[in-house]
Amino acid sequence: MATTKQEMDSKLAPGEARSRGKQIQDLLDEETVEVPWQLRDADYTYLGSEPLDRDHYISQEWCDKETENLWSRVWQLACFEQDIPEVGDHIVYDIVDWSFILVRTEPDTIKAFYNSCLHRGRRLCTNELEPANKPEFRCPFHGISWNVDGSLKAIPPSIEFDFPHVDKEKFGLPEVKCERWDGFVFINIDDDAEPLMDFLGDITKHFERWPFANRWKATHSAKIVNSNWKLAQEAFMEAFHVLATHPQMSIGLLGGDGSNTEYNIYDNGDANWSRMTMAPPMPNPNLPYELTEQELIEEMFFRGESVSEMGTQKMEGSAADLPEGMTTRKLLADAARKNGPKGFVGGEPTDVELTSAIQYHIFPNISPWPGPIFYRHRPYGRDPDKCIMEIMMMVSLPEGAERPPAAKIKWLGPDEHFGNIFNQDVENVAEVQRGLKAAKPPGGLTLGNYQDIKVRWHHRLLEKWVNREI
Amino acid sequence: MIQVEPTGISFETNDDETIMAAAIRNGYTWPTNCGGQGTCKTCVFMILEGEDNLTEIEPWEATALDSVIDVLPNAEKGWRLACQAKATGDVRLKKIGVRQA
Repeated sequence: MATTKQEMDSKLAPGEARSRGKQIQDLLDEETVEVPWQLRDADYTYLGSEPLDRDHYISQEWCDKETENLWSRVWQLACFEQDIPEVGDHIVYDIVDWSFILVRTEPDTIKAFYNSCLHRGRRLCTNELEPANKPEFRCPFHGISWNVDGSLKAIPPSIEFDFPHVDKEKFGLPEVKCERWDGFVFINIDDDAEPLMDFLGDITKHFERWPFANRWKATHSAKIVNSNWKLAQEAFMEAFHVLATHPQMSIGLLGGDGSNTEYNIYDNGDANWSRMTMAPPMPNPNLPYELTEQELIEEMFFRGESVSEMGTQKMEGSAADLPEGMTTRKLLADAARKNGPKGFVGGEPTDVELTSAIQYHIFPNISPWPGPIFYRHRPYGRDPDKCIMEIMMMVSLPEGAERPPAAKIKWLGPDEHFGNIFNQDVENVAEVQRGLKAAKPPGGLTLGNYQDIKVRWHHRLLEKWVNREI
Repeated sequence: MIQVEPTGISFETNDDETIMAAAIRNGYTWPTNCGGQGTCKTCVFMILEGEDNLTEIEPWEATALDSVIDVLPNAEKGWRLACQAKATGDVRLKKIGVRQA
């Protein structure tokens, strides 16, 4: 059995211990192509070991505080530019009690309006399920209409006599702050919010390597999940639950159990983004003896496939036919290279990029990957026990290829599932939500110092927002 | 006697001894993360012959097998956990990662 850093040096400070086996940075040392600086930008800061307050997940009071102090002020993803490609195209974005209309008013201008009639307050657009193109926003209640640029179009002649006090020039739909980055459309309810690019910080430089603007939203699924929105997204903030929750991953557990995942937070935890990189299949460092790469490859061929968050890859062949020194991750990377990897800017993709699940997170609720997977998690109204979980596939296209229309959102029913791995997470977080309520008070949660750092980072930032320290 | 493919390694088991424990006692490795508690499923093996010579599946093992069966390759005679299953006669099985310790 390999020795951990902890075992070698018992004087390690809290947060310095790491799992057995090679770390991501060790794998990068073995790359045969230039390693992009983004993968070497791998900060971590110990943020303490204090218990995490379970009220963050289950308390109605906390949930209301999030509404009043977080969602009312934070930059949040409303849609993608490709959701509304033509002038007049619009889509509805709902968050807690609010509703907004995102509309392309000119070829390169997108505006966002409060989705509420200025007469009696009815929601103007009710079809949040799919984007639409109509020449106006007409209230279904009394028929007052606005142009897509937000200016008043008409008060129906039959009722116009009753509104002599309305200055039609000033009766436009109120706008909400709307800014864009790399194909994403964000809104911010706070008129005094800092610019989006300041909020995002250096993650924008990281994604110059894996740009989003030209990707295609190939699928978009949503499901109401029986857990707090933070619990659902925390399923993607640490990978050491793989051993118990997803035993089908990592080649029958001979090939890694998520324990040597790299976790990164930046600016001592103050940056609004973080990252984790789940190691590619390699001999599991936690077996009581050293497994060889040859044995791992044999296992992969025996199983006939490699299952990971990167997808399921069919594996056929014989380990005996492979050149000496071949590793599982090299085999998987070479297979990926044969498919012509797309979406990498500034140099050939590394083995780590081709075989690892690299997952970024932007506070508070989206997770862009260099790979195609993309998550968003929203609260379900003001119910702390439910959330809306969304998974999208953001596919990089070959250079010059025409982008097909963006997928419309598909809502899954209670008995419909995202897929095997995701379903295991969905079932798990619902039980966590129940278990949190079942705990003996005060029920503080004991997090890992390193592997749970993204969870701690997220709650630390959240507390600052809720307490108006940000 | 237990015979393990693809290496062809074979060893005897004692009464009331799991296949994994017998392998280790005989100087062989067997993959496990949890050390034989029936939780990690890493020790799971494919039965090739002699399925009737294995002890009955207890509820704990059944639950563990159920959680991975969908993603294991098809096996005519099934899968068992080496840390739970005991042999009452000859069994031939397939498990990668079993070799001289």
